[in-house]
Amino acid sequence: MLDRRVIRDLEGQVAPSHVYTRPADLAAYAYDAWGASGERHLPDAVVFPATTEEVAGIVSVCAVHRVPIVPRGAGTGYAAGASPSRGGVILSLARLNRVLGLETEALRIHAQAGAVTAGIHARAAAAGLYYPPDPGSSTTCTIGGNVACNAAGPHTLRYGVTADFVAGVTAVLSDGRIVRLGEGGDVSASGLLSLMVGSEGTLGVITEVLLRLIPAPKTRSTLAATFSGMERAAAAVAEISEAGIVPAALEFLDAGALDAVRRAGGGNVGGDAAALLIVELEGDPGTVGADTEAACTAITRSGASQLQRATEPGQAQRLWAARKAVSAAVAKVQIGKVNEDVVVPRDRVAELVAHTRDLGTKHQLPVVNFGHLGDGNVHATFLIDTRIAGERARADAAAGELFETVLGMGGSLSGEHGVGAAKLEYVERQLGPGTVGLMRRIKSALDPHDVLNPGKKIPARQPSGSSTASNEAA
Amino acid sequence: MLGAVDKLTALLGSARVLTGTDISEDDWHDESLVALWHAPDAVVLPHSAAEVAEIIAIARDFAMPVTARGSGTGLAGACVPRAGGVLIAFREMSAILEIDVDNQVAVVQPGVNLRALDEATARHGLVYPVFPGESSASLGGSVATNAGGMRAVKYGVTRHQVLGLEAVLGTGEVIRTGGKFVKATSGYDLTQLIVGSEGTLAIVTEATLRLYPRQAHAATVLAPFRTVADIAAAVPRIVQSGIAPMILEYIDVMSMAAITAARGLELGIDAAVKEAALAYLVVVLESRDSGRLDEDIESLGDLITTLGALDVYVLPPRAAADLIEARERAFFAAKAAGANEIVDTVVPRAQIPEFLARVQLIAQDTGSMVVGCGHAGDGNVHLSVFQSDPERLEQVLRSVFAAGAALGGAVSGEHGIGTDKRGHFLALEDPAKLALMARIKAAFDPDGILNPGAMLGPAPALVEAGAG
Repeated sequence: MLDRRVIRDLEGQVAPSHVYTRPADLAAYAYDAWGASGERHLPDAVVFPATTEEVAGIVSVCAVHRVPIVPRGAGTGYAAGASPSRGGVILSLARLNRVLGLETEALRIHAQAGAVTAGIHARAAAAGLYYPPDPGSSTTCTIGGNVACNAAGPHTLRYGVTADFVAGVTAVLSDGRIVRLGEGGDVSASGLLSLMVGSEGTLGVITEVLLRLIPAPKTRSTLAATFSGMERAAAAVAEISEAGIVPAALEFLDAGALDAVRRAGGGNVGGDAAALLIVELEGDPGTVGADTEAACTAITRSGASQLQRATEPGQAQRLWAARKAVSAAVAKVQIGKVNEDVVVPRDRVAELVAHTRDLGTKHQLPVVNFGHLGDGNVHATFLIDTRIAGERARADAAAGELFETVLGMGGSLSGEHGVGAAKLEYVERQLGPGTVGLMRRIKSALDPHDVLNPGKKIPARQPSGSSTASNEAA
Repeated sequence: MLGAVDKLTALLGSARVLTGTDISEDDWHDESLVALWHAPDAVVLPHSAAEVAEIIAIARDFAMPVTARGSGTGLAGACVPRAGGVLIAFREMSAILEIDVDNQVAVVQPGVNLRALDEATARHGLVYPVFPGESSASLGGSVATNAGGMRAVKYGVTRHQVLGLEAVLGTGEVIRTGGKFVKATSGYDLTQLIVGSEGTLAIVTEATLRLYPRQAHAATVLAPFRTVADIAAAVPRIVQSGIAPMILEYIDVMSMAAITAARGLELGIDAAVKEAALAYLVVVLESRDSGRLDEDIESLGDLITTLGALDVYVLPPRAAADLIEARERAFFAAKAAGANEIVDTVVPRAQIPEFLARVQLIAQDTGSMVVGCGHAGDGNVHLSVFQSDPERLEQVLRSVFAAGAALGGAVSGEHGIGTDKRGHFLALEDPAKLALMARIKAAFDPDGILNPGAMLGPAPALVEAGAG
């Protein structure tokens, strides 16, 4: 429970009606999208500031009283990043939801952190421009959450992740100071902006973002192909890339994922295929036309069983339907899932998918693989029935073995979902103690009292550790 | 002092530890016009990250400043050694460790230069797309300074190509960041923090870099305009058209005269047009397909004609290569012409005319001459300042940087801060951010031995929570 004085101080920053403290009001803030299969923690309060200055005021209050601050956009994260695992104050950015301006000459859009990502897409499109990052939750997630987690999505392959489009941010630091990082704020481009992007609320609270836009592609063409083996789909991807084509998206579903879509009532996509590959090409009509021909040739040469082409939006939507439905379909056919977000160099994807099937057999769990074949980001999912004793433990064991394989391939344990609280125990395995030690020193350099989203992103130091020594000596 | 050199010699052998008169004067400086030259106490030539780690551990014990050096082509004095310090020269760590065609990445040691990487990638039909204009520049230096160049308008700067690093901290610890993938959200983005930190946070010992398909066909379009303002107004239209030029540069009439004269270039521009033109737009387009390239040239020609181009020339390949090379060597043309300092301020691209107008007022007020060219596509303006009086020169720089900052710009777009621009950077940057940078520096380099005096000042005290 928060001290009454803290509540009073918070109510001094925003109107009392914008400070929730009743348990019934707090319940919805006890988890994020991870919470469906994860733990829940009730926050002590939820506050709704409407301006950067109000955010700064709230952070100052919490800093003085050493109360944890958990920034929250729409709560669509898959890593318990917005879960108040140590209680404290949920700082909701829901009221900072305006798009502040679009610069057609400079090709930038300026928005408050709580603006919904789809609103950014729509505003850009209305001006003939394009904001490519499109995480699966873009109709509900917020742009501030995307920047804080460095979200990605299918169009990363050609255009890059959210970080590649962030020109600047306004952020509130742990002592309540407001800084502007990036274009229009930096006297020299510094790494501070890159550090803040993807820091999951542990180094500062992002209140405004300045994003780069690009001219909207004039044409789009979509291909869907099925293969009798994952290696053939991977070979098609290699051929496409060798031809010098950089598609906007290269997505895949394996047999398990196609089966889940079918069982969830999503239609019989791909028949008994081992893999469905979706290729999307964007650009001027001449280039897209030629690239589409070349991609079709590559796909056919790699032994595709079936190839479909869409040239108008309705057809494309039908081709995308299975890929878009898979996450919900998996949730529908099974009561629980251990959903991973691993990345391997893209020439190892087929091998990785085969390995997950072996793990499924070994641990007696159904496996679903889908994701971004072009950039090596695979959502390997072990399906479990949480009512059956031991299934979660078997899935955790399978995930542990999967991580070893991924690291052995030179990959990463998290591609786009972030670390949050959910992946914390694996971070040191990937990065090693020296790098994690450095990250802890950076965290304590920016947030010496550990009030910003504590217990997230970087594993806490060992009780006997001496990793703060050098920082304090400085 | 002797102790440190003895230890370094025991580690590397006497052939790889240079002292006294064995140190070449080349190692005292970079290409900066103003940085003071210093001889280090020792130049060391490591062969591995493990050796770099040992060198740093020795330097730490003896509180010796450590400066890393690639090819010494920097323009901001960032790799000038400190007196009493150790210079780590990477000329014996210059191997291309891997060109991974399937994943389109290169793994290189810091001493590899851009020319060598370009030749190696060309054999696989790939390209590393950052061309800062000096092909002898090293990749280690490119990463440390976040080098840019003319192709940034299409491909971005060095920062956008670095997928992973191996680096040695000021503690002597070796860390690895990133890998052969474009996305990873495990931990903070240390890669991007190290890129552009000018050797003040860590010494890069290996870099994993993004490669792209090499386009087979390119064309260079030269268009004289009445004023730079006309070019600046045309640039957003060109960018919005979706033509995606690889290079989008402006060259003012004075700079054009200097670079064509320096190379004896004859571009065949009509005399009447030459008379009316105060600025030139250079656009390079590339494509995999020659037919599509022709279409792009045509639509670009139509577009810039409606935007005020006095004429449009598609240069023959030889002249095109010469012009681009001459533009890349513009710095040396300015140096030969007697420029006293060069500036690479960046402003939002729509603000270029306003910025240049203010610069001309500053030049008039101080009796200086300021000419330039630059990356019109990304707002990075390169100015050569001719003012031989040091005090007035300082006044010009201060006013130019303040004018840039007032328009939402930055001191340096691609040359870096180094030792040259440090005073201006510290004076203009938000103190809260300088404090953050200093604390981050202390996390990487607790004793402050890595390139002290470049970019940052000494670490200020922590600010108590709530005090702001």
